[in-house]
Amino acid sequence: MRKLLGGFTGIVLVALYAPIVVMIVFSFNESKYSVKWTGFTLDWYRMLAHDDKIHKDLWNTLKISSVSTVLATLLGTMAAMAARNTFRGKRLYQTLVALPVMVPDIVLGMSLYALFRFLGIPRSLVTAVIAHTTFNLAYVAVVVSARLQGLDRSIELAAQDLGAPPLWAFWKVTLPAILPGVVSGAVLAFTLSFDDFVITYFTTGPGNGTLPMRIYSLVRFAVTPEINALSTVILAASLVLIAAALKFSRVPVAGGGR
Amino acid sequence: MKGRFLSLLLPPTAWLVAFLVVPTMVLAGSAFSADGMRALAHAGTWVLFWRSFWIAVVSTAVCLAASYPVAYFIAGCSTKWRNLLLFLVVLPFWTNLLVRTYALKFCLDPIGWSDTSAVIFAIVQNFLPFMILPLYASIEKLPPRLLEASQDLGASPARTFWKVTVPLTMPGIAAGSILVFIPVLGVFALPEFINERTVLIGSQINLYYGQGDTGAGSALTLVLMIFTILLTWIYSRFRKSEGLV
Amino acid sequence: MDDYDVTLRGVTKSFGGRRAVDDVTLTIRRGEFFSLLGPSGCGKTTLMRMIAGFESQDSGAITLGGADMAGIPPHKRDVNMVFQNYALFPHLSVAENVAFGLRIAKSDDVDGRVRRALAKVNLAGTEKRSTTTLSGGEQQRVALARAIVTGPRVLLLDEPLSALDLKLRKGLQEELRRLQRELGMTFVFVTHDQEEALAMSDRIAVMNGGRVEQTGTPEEIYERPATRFTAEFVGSGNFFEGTGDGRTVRTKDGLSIESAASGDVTLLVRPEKMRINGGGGLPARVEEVLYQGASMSIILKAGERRLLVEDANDGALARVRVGETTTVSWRPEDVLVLPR
Repeated sequence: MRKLLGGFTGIVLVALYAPIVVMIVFSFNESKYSVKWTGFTLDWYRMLAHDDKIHKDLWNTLKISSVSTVLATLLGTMAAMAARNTFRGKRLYQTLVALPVMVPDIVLGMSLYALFRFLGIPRSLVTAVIAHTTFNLAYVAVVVSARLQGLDRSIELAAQDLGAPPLWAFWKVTLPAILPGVVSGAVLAFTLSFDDFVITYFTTGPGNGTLPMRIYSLVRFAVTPEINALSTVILAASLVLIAAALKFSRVPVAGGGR
Repeated sequence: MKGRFLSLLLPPTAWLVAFLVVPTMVLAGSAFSADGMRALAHAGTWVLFWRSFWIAVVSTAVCLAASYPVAYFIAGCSTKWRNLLLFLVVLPFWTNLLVRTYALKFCLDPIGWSDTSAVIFAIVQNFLPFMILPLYASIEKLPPRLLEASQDLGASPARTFWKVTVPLTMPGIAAGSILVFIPVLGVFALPEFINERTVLIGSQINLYYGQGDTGAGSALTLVLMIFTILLTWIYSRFRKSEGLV
Repeated sequence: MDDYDVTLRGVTKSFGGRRAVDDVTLTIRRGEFFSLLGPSGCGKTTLMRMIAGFESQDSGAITLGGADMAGIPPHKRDVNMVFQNYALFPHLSVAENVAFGLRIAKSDDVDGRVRRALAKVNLAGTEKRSTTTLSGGEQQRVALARAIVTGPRVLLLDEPLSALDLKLRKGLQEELRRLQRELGMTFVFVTHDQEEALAMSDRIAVMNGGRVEQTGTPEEIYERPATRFTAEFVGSGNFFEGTGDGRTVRTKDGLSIESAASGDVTLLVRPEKMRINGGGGLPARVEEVLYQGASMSIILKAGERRLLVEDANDGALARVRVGETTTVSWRPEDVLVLPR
């Protein structure tokens, strides 16, 4: 029975990875149109390297992702910490924070678009950052919240008992203890932002396109190896991010207790 | 103490009110316009909803069927293998959905597979990690002694699976299903890649948006929003545990 | 042959290089209350799991009611197990838990049988309750009801009382014994608690390091232990190692004990067989007096040697004081001989 399950798992994994592998391989294919392999070339990558529009897209993506990650991490951590207390309307509050995760991203994109349109605010990188921050906030809050739940509050009380003023206790005791959670949340937010298409599509300005949007518009035109190359590059960037994230999650936290 | 709490609570709440609650109200306002009402009155819109709903249901079911054996297998592996397999399963989740869908399209186009079944296949292939992880978490918590007790009392392995394993991993099944169903309901770029003639709710909203018909777009978006929030609310009612999600 | 319900012949099981069960041969009679007694790691649980069918032996044969169980999966064996942590199905009510096996066997009068089984374990009226609202003792009894309701040939009990407090344990010990007699079912009981095993069993197999040290009735095990391990594990004892010449045994520290043993032996005298101030015997100094309510334990020192004397609290002993010098004596027929 295990063999059957194992075999099936293998098939599933192949189905998950085969298309990607094929796509990467064919990004080096000389022929522009046919699916037959005609020779190895780096031409498509060269084209990418010289494509200014793509560079701009990359920059935009990075800008939006980094700024929104910082904001979302800040707000999300605050939200998670506030949720530790009990207060009236806590249920409502929790629902509000979780809302972005409860609906498809097209809903978020469309409603923010409606807002900006209603207020007469032209769409730009700023509006895109606002949108990204909003949905990333929820993810950071969930991750940090989980970490907080596992936190033993007695260490904060011990710090205060030993004479530490609340703010000092927070900085030196609570924050270091939840730092891995905060970092995980931040990495999650950055990755989700970097890869986001739908929300960005609805909330960014003309000329402020991102890499995922570029892919979308290219594919609607025609399938060319250039897209393969671009996709491979994006994939590589994601992998670098993941590797960095894994490295970060091993950062030792000052002060011991797990 | 109170001041500190409020200083933590206010900023995120203010942000969320401004960029979640207010947009919803604007959306509602826009939806209840002439354009919006017209779009909702149009029978084709509801056919579209029905179609999207069914594709989401089928995709979720297929995803579940494909994910359960994988999650079960991984849960029974040694720690070393478990970590490796979980990592492999999760890795695609960290990459761009469009890139993954494009890669699939690149493979399917030459074969010419681009009908509804291809769309469902693409959806399932992309959302497998979302289903496998919660399933795995649930299966892993199952005490092996319970399965032994069941067999000891005379239940065959198959019967034990349906009468003990499945009911007890329901939380994982429910969580995974919700995690797949809701995004799939609103998906639009993915099906368009595979078959540009696919029209689902997501693509219809995109169409209205592209035409500048904000009223119609808002109306459809509002219906989608209400439906998914309702679904999530029903789901949380049946769950007994705490947490934000 | 028909008299034996469970037989094990030369059963061996290893886990990674280590022999958990080493060449065990046992016969358990039909209708017997049989205990597997030993410290943790002695292989008793592994043995039980092999009888149930959750592990298969590396070598040897296991038969149930005369039939060889090789290759037969647990759900086809007429053996039911009461698990150590109860293993009740959390998603089913008490009644549904108990009915589980009945539904599979498509028995008739399921409700009636469930009701009667619950009544037998003193849980009448709990049918609709959720198992999570029950106390440990109650959960234990549901597990028991669930296992007996299908009327299996053999019931395996894996340290079922170890998680309960003392009073509850003693009460359930009585109940289990009574139940077993009523049902006439073969019970195979695994425990590390020797008092429990002695109190409840018809026969006991003492296990150590995967092997069976001795099999016998509780009286045989206690009064006539075959090995030092059994003597030490079941009950307490005063041990004297020495060499005998057929009339006395001389120990290294110069004691001469009357005994017919010869060669290198270990002599055992149980604490309750020793007497203080009886005239004659070993001179010893009282080190410690442990008051235990109904009985007393007195620890004495004779030279470098520590001796333990136990007796009922009948007043006479209460007059013993710490620091007192006295004598310890015993009857020669109470000296047990064990191989070195």
